[in-house]
Amino acid sequence: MIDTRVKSPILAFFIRYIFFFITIFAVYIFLKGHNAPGGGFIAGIIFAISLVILNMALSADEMKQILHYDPLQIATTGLFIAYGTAIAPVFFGYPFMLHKMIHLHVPLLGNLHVGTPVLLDFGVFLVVVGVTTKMTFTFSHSSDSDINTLAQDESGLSNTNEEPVVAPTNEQATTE
Amino acid sequence: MTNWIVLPTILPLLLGSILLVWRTPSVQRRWASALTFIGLIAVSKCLLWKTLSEKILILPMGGWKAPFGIFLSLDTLGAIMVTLALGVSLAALVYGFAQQSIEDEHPMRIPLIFFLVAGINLSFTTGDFFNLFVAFEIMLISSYSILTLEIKEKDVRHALPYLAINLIGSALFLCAGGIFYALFGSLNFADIAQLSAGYANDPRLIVASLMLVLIFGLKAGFFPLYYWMPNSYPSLPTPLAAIFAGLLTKVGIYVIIRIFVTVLPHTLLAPHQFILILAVPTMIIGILSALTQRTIRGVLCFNLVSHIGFMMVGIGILTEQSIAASIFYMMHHVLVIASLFLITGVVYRISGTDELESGGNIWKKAPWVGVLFLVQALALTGIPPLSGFWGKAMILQSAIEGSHWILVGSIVIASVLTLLSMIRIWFAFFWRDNPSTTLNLEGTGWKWMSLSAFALVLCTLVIGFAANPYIRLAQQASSSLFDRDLTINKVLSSPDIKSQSVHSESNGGHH
Repeated sequence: MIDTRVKSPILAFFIRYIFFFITIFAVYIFLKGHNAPGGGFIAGIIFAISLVILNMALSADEMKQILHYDPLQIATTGLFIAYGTAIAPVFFGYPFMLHKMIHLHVPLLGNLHVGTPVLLDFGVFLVVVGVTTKMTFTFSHSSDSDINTLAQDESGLSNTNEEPVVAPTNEQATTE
Repeated sequence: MTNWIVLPTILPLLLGSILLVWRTPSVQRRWASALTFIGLIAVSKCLLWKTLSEKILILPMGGWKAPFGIFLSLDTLGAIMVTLALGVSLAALVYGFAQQSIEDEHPMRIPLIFFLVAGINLSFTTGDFFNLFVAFEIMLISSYSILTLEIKEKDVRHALPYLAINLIGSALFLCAGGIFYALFGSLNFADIAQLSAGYANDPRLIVASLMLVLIFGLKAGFFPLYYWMPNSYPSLPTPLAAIFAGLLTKVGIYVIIRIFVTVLPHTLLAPHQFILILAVPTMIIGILSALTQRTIRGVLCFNLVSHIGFMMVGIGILTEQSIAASIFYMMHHVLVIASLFLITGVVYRISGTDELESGGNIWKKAPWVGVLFLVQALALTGIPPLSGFWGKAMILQSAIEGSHWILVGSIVIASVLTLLSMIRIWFAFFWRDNPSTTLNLEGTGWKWMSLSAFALVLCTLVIGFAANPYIRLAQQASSSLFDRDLTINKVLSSPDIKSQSVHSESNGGHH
């Protein structure tokens, strides 16, 4: 295995802090949605970007520890949350995808309008984060020739008689 | 009850997602997916039955009032297409089970079929231009994945034209949507139908409608645009090729019928004349190319292209009778071309090749496969009393009534040449003795495969021998498409369920 990750110590140092700023921005965009531009999809992309940047600095194992769940698991959880909020009104005799708003008055914060669209948006957010990170991580493991991690990535997703596609290592590239 | 029409879309999506988690192929997984399809077919039959009395079923999603909310609407044509899509997918799915052992099954194949079917069904039930785009994207993204899922590495390049041309198509689709929104300020089909009446001579609408012919012609395989199809379809495993050939091209035809009959004004003549002009080379060049092909799947792909031309004739003439003819022909063609692809798979399995030069002997060893093929080949050609005959007779009739003699001539020529191309396959694979070909008849897999192909053959036989109710069904679908005022009224006067729910909420004391 060859390490193609960024070697700059400056980047490696700062990435850990940049990560938090991007994540906070993602949360802001997420909550801003519904009546203003923003929402689950774009917040998901922003959050996924922060993870992709983090992936540049950290090793595959470290990333796995941070994420804790398989990206695809995150995406499917999101899918089911979204389906749930879309289908739930049907059981109460309302049209598919009907939303419900709750208007609260919270001291200090003022008037809060919370509704089921937040749940749907959160599902979308998880799907976007999961799918984006799954794709970029698999590509990065592939270009790292990290065949073991790649085999784990693809387990259950590819046929048993298929082999993971990895970039040729340096030695192979020179001999060929 | 209105919520039922979302079921053919949401249930495949839901099951597809469940199967993404439940990844390991097993017998239970296969049963679960087959039973879901059977349940969905029952639902779609009920919906079809309901559309016959109520003409059009609508579901305002989220309870938003038209034209602001997104609508699902299902009329008889949509219900017919949903039923066909589910039936063909079920046959292909079961066929795939027989073809592959559980160990060889790709874990992503069934989920992707479900996502594809969800996209197809959504495009049949949508009542909104942008939602149609979304449905096409769901369908296309699943089809890109299916196309490259089990492909051999050297064949990946065949998937590239498909990908490239469909991406261009999607971009144009979005542009056309933009033009529509700029013109009418709405994307709801019923709303556009109401607003567009005075725009028949507006050059902007003519350009946008010609763009739509181009976009959906690309998906359906109209004359100069079909180049991608015969390259990419043969590289698919046969059951998936059956779904692609049977359904994806018909989605293009369906959308053209939907938009030009129910949405845009009938006095807008340019797109219809354009479709009629393209229909002639689609029929003739398609079938001539079929005669030059050296593999069964190649012949079938070009036959598919050529027969799209027949449906184009019906759409281009644009009378109630001609649209009914196109709808009936579409019903017949979905079943016939899908089952021919499935039978090709059986032939490939027992003779180990699909090159016309190296086949032979099947009639002596496995006559039933020959019978299946012969029935479908004759149905495709249009020999009475099989299903193709009625469709072609109806299309010919409307072409003669409109005195389109060039079209009449091309339909007859294309039919005769279809027979010729089918006879080539029949002779090469079934009839002749080829001492260099040995058939592999071991195992029971191919018998089950032919059985699920037989299910589709049976459907075409029913449509052929008991054609009357199906012709009436097509006529009813066509007449409800032409009854535009009913659709417009029903969609635009739907109650605002949202305001009711807000009202009940304020009573509930959530403030």
